[in-house]
Amino acid sequence: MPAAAKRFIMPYAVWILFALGWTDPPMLGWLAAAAAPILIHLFSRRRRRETGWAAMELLRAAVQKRSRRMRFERWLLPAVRAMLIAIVAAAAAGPYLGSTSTASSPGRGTHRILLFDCSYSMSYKPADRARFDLAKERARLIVEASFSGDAFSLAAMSRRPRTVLSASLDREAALRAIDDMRPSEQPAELPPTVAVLRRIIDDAKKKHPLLERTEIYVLSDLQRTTWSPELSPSARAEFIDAVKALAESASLRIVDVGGPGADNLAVVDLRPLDPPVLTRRPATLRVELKNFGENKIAKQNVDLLIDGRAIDRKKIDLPPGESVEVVFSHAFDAPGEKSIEVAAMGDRLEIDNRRYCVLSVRGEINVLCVDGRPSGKRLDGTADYVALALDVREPPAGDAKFNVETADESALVERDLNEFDCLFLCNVARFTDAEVRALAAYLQRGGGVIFFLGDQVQAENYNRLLCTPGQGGAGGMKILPARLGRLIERRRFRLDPLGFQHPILKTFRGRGQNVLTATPVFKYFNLELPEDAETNVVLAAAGDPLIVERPMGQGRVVLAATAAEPDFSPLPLWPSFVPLVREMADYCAAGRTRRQNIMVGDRLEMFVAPAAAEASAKLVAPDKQVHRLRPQSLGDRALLSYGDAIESGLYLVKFGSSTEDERPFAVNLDTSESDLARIEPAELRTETWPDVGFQYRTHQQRFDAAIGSERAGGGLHAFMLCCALGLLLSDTLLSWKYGRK
Amino acid sequence: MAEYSPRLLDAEMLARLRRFPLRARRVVEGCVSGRHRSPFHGFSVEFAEHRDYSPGDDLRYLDWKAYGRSDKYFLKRFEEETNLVCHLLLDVSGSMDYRSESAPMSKLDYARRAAASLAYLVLHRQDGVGMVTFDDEIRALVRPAGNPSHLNDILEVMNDLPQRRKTSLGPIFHDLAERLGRRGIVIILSDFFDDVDSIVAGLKHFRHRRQEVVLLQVLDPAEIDFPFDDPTLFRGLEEAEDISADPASIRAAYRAELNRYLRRLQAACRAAEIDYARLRTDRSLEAALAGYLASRV
Repeated sequence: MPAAAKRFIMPYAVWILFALGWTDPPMLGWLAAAAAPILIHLFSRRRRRETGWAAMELLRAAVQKRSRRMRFERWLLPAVRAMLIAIVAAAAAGPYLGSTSTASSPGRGTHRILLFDCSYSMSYKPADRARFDLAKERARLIVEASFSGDAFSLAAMSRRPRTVLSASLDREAALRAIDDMRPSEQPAELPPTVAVLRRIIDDAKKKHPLLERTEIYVLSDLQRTTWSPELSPSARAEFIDAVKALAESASLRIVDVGGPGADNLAVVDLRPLDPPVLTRRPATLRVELKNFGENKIAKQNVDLLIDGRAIDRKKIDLPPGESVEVVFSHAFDAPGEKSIEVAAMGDRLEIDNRRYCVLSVRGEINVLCVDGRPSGKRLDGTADYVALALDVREPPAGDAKFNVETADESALVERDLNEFDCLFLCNVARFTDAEVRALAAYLQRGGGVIFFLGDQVQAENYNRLLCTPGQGGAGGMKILPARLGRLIERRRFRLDPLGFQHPILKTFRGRGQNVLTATPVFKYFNLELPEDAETNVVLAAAGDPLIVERPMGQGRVVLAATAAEPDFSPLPLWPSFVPLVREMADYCAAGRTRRQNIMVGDRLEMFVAPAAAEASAKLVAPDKQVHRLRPQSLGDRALLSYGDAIESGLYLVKFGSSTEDERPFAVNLDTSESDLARIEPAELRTETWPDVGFQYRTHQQRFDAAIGSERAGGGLHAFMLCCALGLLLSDTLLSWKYGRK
Repeated sequence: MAEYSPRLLDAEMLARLRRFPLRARRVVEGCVSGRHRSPFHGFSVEFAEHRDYSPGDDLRYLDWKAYGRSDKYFLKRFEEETNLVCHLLLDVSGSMDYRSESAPMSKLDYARRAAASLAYLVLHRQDGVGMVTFDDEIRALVRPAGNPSHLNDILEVMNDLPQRRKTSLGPIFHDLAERLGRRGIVIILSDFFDDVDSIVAGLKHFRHRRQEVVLLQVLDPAEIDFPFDDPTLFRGLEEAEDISADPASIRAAYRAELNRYLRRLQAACRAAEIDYARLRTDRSLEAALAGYLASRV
């Protein structure tokens, strides 16, 4: 290279190389190819032909005359070609102005935030590697291609988005954090993730105020459930505003690691059809599977395992996009808590191919009927009709399903309510704080409480202690699902079963409809429903709710606005009363194991006796790892809890030495994430993130610095391509000019 | 006629060239039959032989008696009285060895054939011819003679060329101008790739000695057209330093230099009343010689 070129061009070339930022620095390796024209030129010079020559003086004169021009022309073409290759290579490396990272001190470069979609759909394996692995690989490339002054943050997008690494200047730490990233077993939620990103950016500004720019790389499979969340109009507007604000302060880049045509099969539900489950009676387990793909799945095995032993297998066909119900029937010999597992393996996303359930199998259902006006005479007490209805023997075995005990209201504080699966409170006039406290604790542990009102009921006491959070002994718990209003009396009207939708009314569906709707109810308390979605109306009367229910703690409360005695209303004498009461009992008693059937991310909790709290408790996770649990004393009982259950599967808590002191827990996935349908990039621009500037690439594509360069006053990439085009044209003209001599 | 080298002489070509006698344009010392003007009158009287009459021969030397006997025209010739002496100066330096791919022979071969043919033609006309080969010094010198067997001596000199060196035309011409005797024709066959001023000074020395000088510049077509395309290392044939060049980029400059040089040489020849003819080795020697000789008639 001529000395002048060395003196003037090289320093600038080096400056440009280091002053610019590059979105894909490995592409700069192609700069070496720029040497090719020079080498070819030198090689061709070495391969010159030789000839003897007579007119050397003439030749020398000609050469001398054109020597400078010859030297210029000789190097012109190779130089143009070398520049052409260099510029194309530089353009391919994605240059952008404004990042003087390599030359700058730490904390003056670019803040790169890597947001991983940690929803379990990222575990989908389209080939030999999961989508999450592709995301990690891409993230590594981004970090490795960064410069010394850059900062890195990592965040996980899941149901509870979290910051994994905050504005670290340590590239190795970032790489280690990437390696440690794991997909969760939960869906991901975008709106709270935006808040986490905002927080990361704000923290980074405080930590490294000289960071020049921020790039957010969202590594996701663009699953529709994540990217197109169902939001109310106001929440949606708020969400889009937040994303716009984010895009103004950072360059948003979406790396799509997903792809079209992903099929998936999931076990979406597993539950007993008629809880509670009793021994010696066939229990029906209902399993729902859904084919989320576009292809039919034929002869899919569905396996039932109870306490780890294979019990039954069924083969089913699943049409595309449809759900199929599979029913297993099994009779349990002995009572106890049973771990149920259903597996339908064999697709590319295996995490949702299993579902778990813990069943409490009982010999009978223990019911305490609290009589507000006990009487020594038969069928004279207010709870007598309820007890009688529960005591009915069921054909064909004739076994008693319920073990009923009747007591007055003092039993609420004197008896251990945990001995009972559900309580009927009939015409209890008023409650004391201690009683309310006992009821609240009972409900908290999964008990079921059914209120029948009556002529003794003091509505004010009910409303104050059972309906007002913070009042009485219920702490922050509101026990009654509705406030009691005035007493309404009507001569005759029909009951409205509301389409028999509620499980309590399932027994009346079909032929029993008329029996229920014709039931006479003349007096009832007007119920004032709260404005929440948790209260369900089971039965209505003349447009007013007659029976309502709602979950309370881990248990359930059913409130009947009328009484269970014929003096108040003829309901107890009507044929519909017996099945109605028994269904209420079944429904409420089923809650005892509800605490043991939780979803991924929920807190795993159980109450134990104070004595057990002193013993060491252990939790055996699905991966057989053992965790120690520290009991928390709550006075008359102790609470064992285990952080967040982040893996689906069957857990076992051991809080004593005997098998009686073991309790299984089933942790299941939210299968809304099993639908792998994607949102297309165009839809993302128009619907999810309208008017939000972001770049989109698949994981195989590289980002250019479009946004960055625009911000830097750029179009540098386009400018380089124009230069390359100009050089290409020059090369053609020069070749034509000098080639024809 | 003496034997001649089949490599250097072409009988058919020579037969056709006989029609073009080499005539002196100027006064030469010595005349046989008045074809060449002599400064001396009545110099030669001893009859030697008859020869066939050719159109243009001086009728004064027609043998009328022989015509009367045979009804054919014969011209009387006189022994040792050939006044035309032709000196053939052949450049045998290294540069004459050049032969390009498009040329059928080297410049030296071409010049040798031309010299041999001219010698034959001169001897055929009963004139005297001598031969000098040179590079930067005189390599061989054959004194002029007019007997036919003299051709063998000339051919032998041209066939037995020593190791050649670089050209040094000017000094050689000065040397020869002094050494060549009687006034005659000096025909120089060379590529004349040397300093023009030096060449011209030497040629003027010949002219000073009243010699008629003819320059036959033998060039290879590649030396004129410079047809090379690929980068080439030009190795000097006469110990000159090698030159590496891209022919495409200097072609125009080389041609300009060559034309300038040729124009200078021709202009100098014209000024000194020297005949100049250019012979390309890719062209027919017969045509070239015929063209030149015809121009002298």
